[in-house]
Amino acid sequence: MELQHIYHLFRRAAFGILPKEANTLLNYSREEIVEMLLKESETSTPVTVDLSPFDDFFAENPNATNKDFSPIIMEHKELRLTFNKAWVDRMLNPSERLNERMTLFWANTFVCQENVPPFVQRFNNTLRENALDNFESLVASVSREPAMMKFLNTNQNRKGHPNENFARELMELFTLGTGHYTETDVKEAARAFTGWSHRVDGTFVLRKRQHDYGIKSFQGWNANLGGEEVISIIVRKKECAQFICEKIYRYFVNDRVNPAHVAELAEIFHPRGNIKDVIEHMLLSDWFYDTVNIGSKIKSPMDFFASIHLVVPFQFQGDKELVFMQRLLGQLLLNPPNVAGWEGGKSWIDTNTLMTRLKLPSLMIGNGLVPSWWSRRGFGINQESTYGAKLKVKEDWTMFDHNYGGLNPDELTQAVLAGVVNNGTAAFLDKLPKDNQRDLVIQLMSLPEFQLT
Amino acid sequence: MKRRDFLKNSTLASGVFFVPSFVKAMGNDLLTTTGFKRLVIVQLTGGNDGLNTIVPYRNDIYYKSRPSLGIDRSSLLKIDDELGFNGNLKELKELYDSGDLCVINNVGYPNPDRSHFRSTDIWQTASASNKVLNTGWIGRYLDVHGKSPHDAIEIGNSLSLAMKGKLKNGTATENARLLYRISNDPYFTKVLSHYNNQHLSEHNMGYLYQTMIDAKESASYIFEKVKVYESRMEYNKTQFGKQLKTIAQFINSGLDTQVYYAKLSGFDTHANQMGRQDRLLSNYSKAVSAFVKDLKMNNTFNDTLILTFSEFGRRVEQNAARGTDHGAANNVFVIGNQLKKPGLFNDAPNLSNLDENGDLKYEMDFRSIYANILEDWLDVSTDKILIQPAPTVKII
Repeated sequence: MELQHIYHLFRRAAFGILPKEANTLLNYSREEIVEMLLKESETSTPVTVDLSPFDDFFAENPNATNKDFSPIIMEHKELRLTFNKAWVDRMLNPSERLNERMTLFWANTFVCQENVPPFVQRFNNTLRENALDNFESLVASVSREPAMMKFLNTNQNRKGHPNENFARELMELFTLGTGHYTETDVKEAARAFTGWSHRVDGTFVLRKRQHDYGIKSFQGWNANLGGEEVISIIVRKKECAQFICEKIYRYFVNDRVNPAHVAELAEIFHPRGNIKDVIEHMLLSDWFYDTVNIGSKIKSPMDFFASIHLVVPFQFQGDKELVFMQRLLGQLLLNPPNVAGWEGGKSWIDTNTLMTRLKLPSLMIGNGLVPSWWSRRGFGINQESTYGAKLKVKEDWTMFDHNYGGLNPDELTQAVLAGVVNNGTAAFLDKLPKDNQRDLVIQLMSLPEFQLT
Repeated sequence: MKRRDFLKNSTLASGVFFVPSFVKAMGNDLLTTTGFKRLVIVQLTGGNDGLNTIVPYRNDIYYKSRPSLGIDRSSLLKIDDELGFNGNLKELKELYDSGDLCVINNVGYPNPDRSHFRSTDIWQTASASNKVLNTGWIGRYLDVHGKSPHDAIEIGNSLSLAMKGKLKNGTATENARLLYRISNDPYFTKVLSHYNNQHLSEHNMGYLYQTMIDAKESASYIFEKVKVYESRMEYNKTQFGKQLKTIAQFINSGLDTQVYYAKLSGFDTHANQMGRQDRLLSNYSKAVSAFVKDLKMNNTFNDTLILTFSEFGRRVEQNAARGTDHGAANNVFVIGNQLKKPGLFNDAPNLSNLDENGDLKYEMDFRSIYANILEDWLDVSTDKILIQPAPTVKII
C-alpha cells in the first residue's frame, strides 16, 4: 500500500500514524493492514478513573435515595473533568486505535450530557464496548444507561403520562432520521419505554407499575411492545441502515455524500447491523482512497489536538488548560451543544475558531512565536495578553527529533499535511528555510492546510 | 485606550507586507447613517413555552391543562382582561407600556415540525416545512445585497445557518480585540499572499482561505471602530447580557453592520419547567431592557429593530415531569419605536381549537414577518431572499 494511502487510512480510522510505523507497512497489502487494524480492536479496554468516593458510597448505602446521593455528586464534581482528561489521554495514546475512533464517532451520535462521574464513565465505556459490534445491542445498551435516561427524560416517562423526548430523539437522531416515522409512532414508542428507570447506583430497573403493558400500534405492528422490541423493529428497517451508513460516510469519507457508496454500505448493514463488517468494507474499498477524499475533511478539535500531539507530544501542566482549549475550539467532550451533537465540517470553522487554530501550534509547542526569519522586526510581540498567561504546556521536542528528525522536507510535509499540496502553498513552502526541522514543522502546522485531514 | 497600546497596534499594522488585491481595500471611515436600518435577531433556543410567557389567566382550559404548571394570576403583570406577562418579565412590560414592544400571537407555519433541528432550520432558512434549504434568509440577503463580511455579525462562537448564504456568510465573533490581534499576524498575511484561485476551488480548503480573508477584513474594521467607544450601561452578568452588550457596543461605535444575531438557549423544558423558564425569562428581560436603554442613550434606537422568536412553542397540556413537550405556534416579540401597532398585535391563542396533537394552531406565518422586515425596514425586495410566499402583514 502506498505511503499516502497509509497516512490517509490512519488519519481517518485512527488518530494518525508515526512515519516509522507507516514505512514498515509499505510492504503490506491493504487487506493485511485493515485486518491488522481490526484485530487490534478486537478487545476494548475501558477508560477508568478513580471513583472511590462513589464506589464507597454505593457500597455503604445500598438503599440510598437521590436526596442522599446529591451531596456526594456536588462534592466530587471535579471527577467529571478527570474523566474528560482520561478520555483525551486515551485518544492521544490509543492501543485499540480503530475502536477509540469509533467510540468518538458514536459519542457524537448517541449524544448525552451528564454530571455524575460514574454515569459518565459507564456511558462512555458502553459506547466503547459496543462500538464495533452489533448496532442493535449498541442502541439497546445506550438506551438503558442512566446518563441517557436522565438526559432524554426516559426515567420520567410513565404509564398514563408519557414523556416523548427519548422516543422522538431515538428515531430522529439515533436511528431513522426525520420523515421516517409519524407523530403517532413517537407517542406509541414512548408508551413502550414507560417504566424504564435506574436505581441510585445506576443499575437499570423496569418499574412494572409504571410500564404501559397495553397494545401499541407502531410502524405497522400491533402488539404489547416493550422498549427492546421497539428498538428491534427500528434497527431492522432499511431507513436505519441508510441513516447510519450515511453518518458513517460523512464522518469517515467525505461530507459530500456519494449516494452509491452509501448504498453499498447500507447493503451490508441491513438487516443485521454488524458495524465491523460495514467499516471493514469501507476501509477496503477503492473509493475510500480516492484523491477527492484525501485531505477533504476539516479536523474536529479533537483531531486537531491529536494531530499536533502526534508530531510534538505535549502535556498541559495545569488542570484547567485542557478544558479551556476544548472550549476555545468549540468541542468540550462530554458537553455537547445540544442533542444533535457537534455538526462538524465547516461548522468548526468561523473567523474566531480559524484564527485560534492557526495560532495554536506556535503558541502551544513553540514559544508562542512563529519563526520570524522573513521579517526584520519579527514577531516580537508579547503573547501574554492573548493566551500565554493561561497556557502552561510541556512539549517533548526530543520525541519529535526522534520520530521526524530523519525526514527530508518533502517527507516531513507529507507526514504532517494531509491532501495534495497545491501550487501556491508549494511555492510558499519552497521559500521557507529548511535547515531547522523544528521551525519548519511549526510553520507547516500554522498553515490553513494543517486544518484538513 | 492607553497610548502605549495604540502604539503597539500601529507597530503591528506597519509590519504588514504587500496586501494582495483580492483583499478588498479598507472602507473609508465615513459614517453612513442616512436610510440605514439595523435588525437585531434574538433566538430563544429550545422552544420557549409561550403560554407561560404571555399567560391567558382567565382561561379555564389553561389551568385545567396545567395543574401544577399554570401560573397564578397574582404573580402576573396584567396586559388586559385576558393576558398577563410572566412575572419575571418586569422590564419587558415596561417596554410594552412605553409602546416599544409588539407581541404577535400564534406565529408559526403550515405543517409544523416538532424537531428542534428541523424547526430551527425552517425558521432560519424560511423554507417550507417539507423542504430543506442549505442557506439562511440573512445569508441570502447577504448574497444579494452584502458588500462586506461584517454586514451581518453573530455574537457567539459559531455561525448559525440563518447567516450562511450561497456565496457570502456573516461573521461570528465573541471578542473583537482577540480577533484583530490574531488576524493581523504578519505570518498569515504572508500565507495569504501566496494563495491562488486553486485554493478556492476545493470546497473545504476554499472555505478556510475565504474565512481567513473575511476574518482579516472584519477584524480590522470592527476593531478600529470599537476601540474609541466606551459603554456606560450596566448589563446583567450573564452570557446573554454580555452578548447584547457587545452588540450595543458595535452599534454605538458606528459599525455599518445591518444585521446582528444572538441566541439564548435552555428553553427545552421537558421537566421541571417553572424554575428554569423563570430564570431564562428574567435573563432575557433584563438584558434586552439594558440593551434598549443603551441604544436610546446613544440615539441609535430609532434605527434598530429587535426580533425575538423561538423554533416552536410547547404543548398546552403539561407532561408527567412538571414540564411540557414540543408544540407548534408561539408568540413573537418585535421591539422598536416605529411599530405600526404596538402592544398586542392580534388575539390570544384559542385553547379550545387545538390541532390533533393538542398544540396551538398558527394564525400568522412567520415568513410574513420576515417579508415585512425585509421590505419595510431593511428596504429591500424579498426577491431571491424569501422563496416561500406568505400573506402580507404590517408590523413595521
